[in-house]
Amino acid sequence: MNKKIKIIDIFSILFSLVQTVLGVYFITLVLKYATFSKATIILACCALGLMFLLIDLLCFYSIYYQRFAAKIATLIVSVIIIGLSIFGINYLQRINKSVDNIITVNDKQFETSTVAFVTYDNDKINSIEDIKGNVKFGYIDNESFIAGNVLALEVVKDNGLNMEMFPYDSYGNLILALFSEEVDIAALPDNYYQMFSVDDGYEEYLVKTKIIHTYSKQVEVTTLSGNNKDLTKDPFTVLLMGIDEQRTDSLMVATFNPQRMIVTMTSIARDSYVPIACYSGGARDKINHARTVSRQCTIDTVEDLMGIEIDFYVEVNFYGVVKMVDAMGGLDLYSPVTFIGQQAGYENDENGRGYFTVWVGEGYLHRDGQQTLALARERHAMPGGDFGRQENQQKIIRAMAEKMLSTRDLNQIISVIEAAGDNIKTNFSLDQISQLVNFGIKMLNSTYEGKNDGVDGIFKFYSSRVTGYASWTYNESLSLPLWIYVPFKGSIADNQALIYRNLQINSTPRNDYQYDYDTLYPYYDEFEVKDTYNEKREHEEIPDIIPYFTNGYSLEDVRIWLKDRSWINLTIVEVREGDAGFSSSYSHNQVINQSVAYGKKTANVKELTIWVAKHSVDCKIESYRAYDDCSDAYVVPNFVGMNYSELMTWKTNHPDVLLNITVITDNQSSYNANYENKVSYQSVEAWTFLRDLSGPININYNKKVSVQLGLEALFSYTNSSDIVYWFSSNGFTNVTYEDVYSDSVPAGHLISAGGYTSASGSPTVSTDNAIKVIISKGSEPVVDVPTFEREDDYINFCNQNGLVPNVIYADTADSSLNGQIISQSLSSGSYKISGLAGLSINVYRYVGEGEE
Amino acid sequence: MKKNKKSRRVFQILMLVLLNVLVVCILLAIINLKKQANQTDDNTNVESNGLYVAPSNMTDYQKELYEELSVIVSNIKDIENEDLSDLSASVAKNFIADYFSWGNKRGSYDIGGIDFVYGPYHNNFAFNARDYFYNDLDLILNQYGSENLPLVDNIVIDSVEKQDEKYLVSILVHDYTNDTDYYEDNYYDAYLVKAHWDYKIPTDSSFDLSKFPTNGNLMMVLRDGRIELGYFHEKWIRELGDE
Repeated sequence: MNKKIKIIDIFSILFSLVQTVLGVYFITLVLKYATFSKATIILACCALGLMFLLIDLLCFYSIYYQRFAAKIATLIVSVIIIGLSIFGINYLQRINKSVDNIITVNDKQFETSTVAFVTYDNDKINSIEDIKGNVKFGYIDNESFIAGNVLALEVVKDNGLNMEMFPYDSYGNLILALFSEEVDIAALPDNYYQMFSVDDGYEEYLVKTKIIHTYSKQVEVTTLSGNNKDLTKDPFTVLLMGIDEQRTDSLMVATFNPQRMIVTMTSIARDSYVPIACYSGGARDKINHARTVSRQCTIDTVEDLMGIEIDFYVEVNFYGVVKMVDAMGGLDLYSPVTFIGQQAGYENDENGRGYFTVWVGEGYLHRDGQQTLALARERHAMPGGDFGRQENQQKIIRAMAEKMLSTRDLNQIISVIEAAGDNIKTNFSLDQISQLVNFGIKMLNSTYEGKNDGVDGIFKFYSSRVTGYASWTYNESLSLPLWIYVPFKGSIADNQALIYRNLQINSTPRNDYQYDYDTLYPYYDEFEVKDTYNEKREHEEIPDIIPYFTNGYSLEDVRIWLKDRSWINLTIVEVREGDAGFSSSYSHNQVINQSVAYGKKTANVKELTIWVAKHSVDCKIESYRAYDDCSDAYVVPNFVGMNYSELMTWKTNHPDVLLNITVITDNQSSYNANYENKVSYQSVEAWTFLRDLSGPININYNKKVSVQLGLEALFSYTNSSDIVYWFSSNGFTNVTYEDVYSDSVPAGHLISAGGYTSASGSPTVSTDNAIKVIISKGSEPVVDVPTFEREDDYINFCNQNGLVPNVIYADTADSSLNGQIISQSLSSGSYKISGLAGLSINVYRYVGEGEE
Repeated sequence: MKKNKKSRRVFQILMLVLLNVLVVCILLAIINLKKQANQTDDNTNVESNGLYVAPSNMTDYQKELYEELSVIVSNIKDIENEDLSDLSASVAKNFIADYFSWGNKRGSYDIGGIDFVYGPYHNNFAFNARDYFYNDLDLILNQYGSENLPLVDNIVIDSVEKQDEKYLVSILVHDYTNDTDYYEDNYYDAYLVKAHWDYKIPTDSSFDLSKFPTNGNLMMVLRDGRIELGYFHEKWIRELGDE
């Protein structure tokens, strides 16, 4: 009996101790969240502590006074408390893990950064072991760039790689250097493909890149520390960043003023071309590239752009949005259109993006996580494009905030926190978050508007965006214009004014107390964001470039485009039905391929080939005759009625076509007087395709017997075409023409015909004779030769004046001299065209070290 | 034996005390939790006289006016058929006293008099006020302090006229099913109330009262058994029935 009691004593003491230890640990975990409801939680913890103490006391009492019933009671209660404590501790530890992941308020955070060594269109280098000899290596010359500088140089050093080092100031410039083969290997972030694939024109180059080596490392990142403001009294700013593959796809500056209960949300387009704070010299780039350097770089860039201090940041990766919204049970959101959106990438998806399988219906509907994210990402289908997308993102944030403030389901709250754990980073402290949540709940419960209208009644949202204009910057090495988005200065100023007012910066009361109200003319929010501003748009001068002919150009469009570019020789390749590459969906004469890529400067192009789709046409039907296919080059003309000169001209222009010309003189019975000195018959029908000819075309030409004609009248003609017509209409069959410059005879006048140089002496010639006719072109034009500054200027000058360029290069190792003109063979001045044949220039050409 | 009995007693008393303290803690925690759920800044319960909710943080003058209103409300037997001039005047006074008093407001969002406004447009009225009359209240509170801001005093009703024609309000309604908007016309019995009033402000306050209104025309309408504000302006500038 005594022994049995002793075992119970031991168990009682043991369980009592364990429940005390676990209970105390549970209390310490709970106290971390005391700020959410200080008095209640502290009181509850006191009650728990007292309870544990009571049980311990009961245990001691039961053992000391050998009360068996008390011992059993203590044991049972301890077991229950141990079970509940383990359950509660498990719950709280899950929440703590997520919360610790989210909150970065202690500044020290570690991120895994990965550098990729990337080659372009290179079969020789497939790994770092293949690096031998002269290999050019591009890296970033800035320690803020972890992947492109710190990790890259570590790899070079640790592997003893001996390469020529070429520094660059941004990933944008480095990747362009790779594409233009200025470097053989580039040190880029491992997600470079996703980073740059949204840029127009990069895709065709990116597919030729290859990663030959990667290196990952956990690095310490330092980001803006939080602010100690009292968030229930002082206005504050928050930078909201939506991240996709380390690119800031969504950027929003929010401000909150607790005295006004106004939230401003200002979206900044991800393609905004602005000075990046961490680039040397504050060089410009698309703002979404700042995140590839660091989070702090993005924050600093936005601060500089908007002229404000950012107090807090919240960074959400897109996949996290899906999980959080699903944890909330979905959101009620409005979409103006129905569209199919992109599936969010799964964690193991190497591309991070999925197929287009997410249906988003038009209207005000309940959306799950994937649909919500698709709505946040979609711009192509949205009215307003990128701005429609920004508006949707702001509405989603509001909906999420509203849902969280109104939920009372603890399980749901915990699920959302867990979903957020791996996908959100912020420098709000836990105390500040609880302060804000409590403040929001208090406002909802304690104000008339909050109680009656919920979040929409108490919070007023002002949504705006920084608008700008589309522009271009030309990249020489890639021969490509790159699209950029330049913010309007006025838009930045207007948004700044909105933000400053909400932050009470430089704000004074207007002293304008309008108080009228009329239910027949209810209030409409007049807050409007201007889309455009009347300010000068600064566009970089883009040179004349080859367009995307395959983007809707017809053959005729190309010919029109070439009219001002006469130095380019056009070759047309017809792709007909049945040929490889033809599709019945192509329009007739649609350009389907081009030999010179879009973006190349036209000054450097001499030959251009285009592939043109050709459907079957029947030129005998009048409606087809507008097509180029029915032009003189391709079909048999209507010879009937042509004079001999016209007939010969056509024959000269179509040397491949066999014409059998039968000349019928006026003393023959078959002579047709209605066609004097004209063709009266052709054996092949007009508009027949020349390619369909199986033999010669037989022509009957009715010729009046040779007569002698006087030339006096010709010397008074002032138009060369009148002179030509006179000969052809009078039955001359053997006339050659020459146009020459003459300072004494005006243009279009006859200089000589058949050896006669004037009307004096009644010159006459026979229609049978071979006549040489010389017609004046007038005085030879004079061209002003300038002092050429660049090689392009000289080439353009030659092309415009029908000259063959003659550039003599002098190689130099001094890169600063590259392109500099040394001399030109003719000094600037006025010259006749014939005197310019020998015009040439000497130019320095940088060849680098060791190059031929 | 005696000692054992004594020490046992001590144990029992100690456990009882701890148990009592535990119960008290639990009760306090529950009470605090319930209090948080209905928290108000001035720790007062939400008061209502059956038709109108009392404004928060009322001044003494507002309490008087609200008391008067409650008496009038309690005396109404058949609201649809009685003369509601007194009720209209009282509601108008309560509105004026709350809307134009700034000394008891917490911020630009704390719009006075909302419960006395035409029901379907509470939100609209509040946002109008936040963009206009109350727009800079946050700056003014920071600059002057609430104790130096005006409180309405001494409202005098100049006249109350029951209108011969019904008062029109067109409400914009959104049809979510078809995603269209349309106007719904509503006509109400109406009373035009004209009033003037003063303000109380500390003598040493530097706040400029000269632009604050001291008189107005209020069209009070009978909607769903309540008199509510449909129009407020310094002058009556709109004829009934006009759109």
